Amino acid sequence: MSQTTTTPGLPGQEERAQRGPVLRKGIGPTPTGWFDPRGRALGTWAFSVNRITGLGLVFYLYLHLAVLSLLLAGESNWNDFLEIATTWVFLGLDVLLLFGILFHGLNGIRVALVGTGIVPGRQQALFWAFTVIGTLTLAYGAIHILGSA
Amino acid sequence: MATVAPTRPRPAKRRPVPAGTSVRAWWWTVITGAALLVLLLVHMVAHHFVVEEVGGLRSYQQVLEYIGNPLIFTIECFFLVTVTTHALMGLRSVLLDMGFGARARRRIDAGLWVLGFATVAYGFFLVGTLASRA
Amino acid sequence: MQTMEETVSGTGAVTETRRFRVFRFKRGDQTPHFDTFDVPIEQRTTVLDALKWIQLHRDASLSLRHSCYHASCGTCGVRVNGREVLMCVTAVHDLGHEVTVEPIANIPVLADLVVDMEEFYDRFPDQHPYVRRSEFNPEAAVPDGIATYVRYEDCIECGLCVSACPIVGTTDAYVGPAALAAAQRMIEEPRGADPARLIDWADDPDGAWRCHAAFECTEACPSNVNPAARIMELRGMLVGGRLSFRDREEEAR
Repeated sequence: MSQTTTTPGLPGQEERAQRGPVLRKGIGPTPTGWFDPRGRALGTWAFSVNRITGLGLVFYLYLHLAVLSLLLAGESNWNDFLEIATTWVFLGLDVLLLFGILFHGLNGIRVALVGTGIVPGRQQALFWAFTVIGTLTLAYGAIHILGSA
Repeated sequence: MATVAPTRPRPAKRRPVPAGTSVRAWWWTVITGAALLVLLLVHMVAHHFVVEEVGGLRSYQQVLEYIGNPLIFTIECFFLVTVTTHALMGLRSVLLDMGFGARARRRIDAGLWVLGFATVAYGFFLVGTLASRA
Repeated sequence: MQTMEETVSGTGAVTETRRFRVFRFKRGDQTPHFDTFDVPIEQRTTVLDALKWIQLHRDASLSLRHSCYHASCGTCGVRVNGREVLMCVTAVHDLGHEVTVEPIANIPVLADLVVDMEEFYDRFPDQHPYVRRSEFNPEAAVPDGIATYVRYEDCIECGLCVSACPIVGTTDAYVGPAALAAAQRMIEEPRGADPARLIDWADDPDGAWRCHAAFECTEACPSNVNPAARIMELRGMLVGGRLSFRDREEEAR
């Protein structure tokens, strides 16, 4: 699980390499060390998934703007899109989007409360409370979205 | 002795960003995030749970009717600014973790400002054009 | 008759053998590698016991650090099966049949399990008094004849938090949890330190704002420091907060 690296790019990397190898936890090049939550505790899992959902939502933002641009091209283009968007695969992706939004949003509340020093010691309790809320909401949303097909 | 990272207290002039920048960045992330809890909920409900079509997705005419409402138009514009701000603040946080130096960080900040303005500008153009067709 | 090799702790019969994969690196090596040793253990054998056995009976060139044998000096921090621990209080019996021992992460390795702790200490702010009252335990019995009770800081500067932190693993510029928690303790109880300078030191993209609340440091800490919560309190101070709701046990101090 740990890798030995003298990856260039991090400040002072050459001087460090002269002293000895620096072990890192995680996979891939050093800047993505956060990506591998294996063997880590709950908080790191939450952070990793929060970051992945965040990056996914940034990608979705621009994808969404691109898709909405079809509206500018007229009704028939939009209708063509709707035919794809109402397939099972797409509706499934909508549910995945809902998961991403719920996780990022609810965990974001947790991060805001903890990271602003309001309730610094309650991060695990907040995580589980929001997991319950998020799971119920996701279930309701998924049933509604997929059930409409 | 070679030091790896500038971890000693730094004189103000060597700060990678001006003092208070990080506090403001944190506050803007939190504030936009809190606003998105409401705005995104409204947006998701409106576009997936209101219309009685498959997936709650609106047809072309329904979209125009929706966005033609002045109140909806205002909310969606506000939503666009908020979500773009929050998204790019998050992206900034990921990029800053990658160990860039002070100059690169300033360029990242500048680039994200440009991207943010461009995104919002295009979004306003999109929403405005659709509203004008309503 | 029991031979030296039959027992590790010297107190009882060997119950089993465990395979240890130990990280090896010496100056001049092109790349590190792992050496494998079969070590006889018994119920109370610790990882430190096992590695000392390897040093005595198999490979005297194995480099490792230890001191107090009871988790109060912080010298023997390593990673065992990927998790940060103090060797002297980690029972081998609780681990799997193959035990992988590596030095702590994110700090250059000098030799085998020994890392360059100077780099760890470089992360701390300049002002760092050692003795403070803030961890005084009101329930602790004061011995007879003792008028006052001063307890050393919980932090034993073992470096496990720096090893565990996923953000230190991505950027060497981040000062890390140990230094930030130390700054928070000094702001809480200055004892001659300058809180304004410490706040200024912490208010930096590579200071308190680089933390992403993974709380891995708190999980790894063997000494109840809870560095992550301290970093969050520090951030609360930075945003001008009087918003913090502390745990009741902290209020009781």
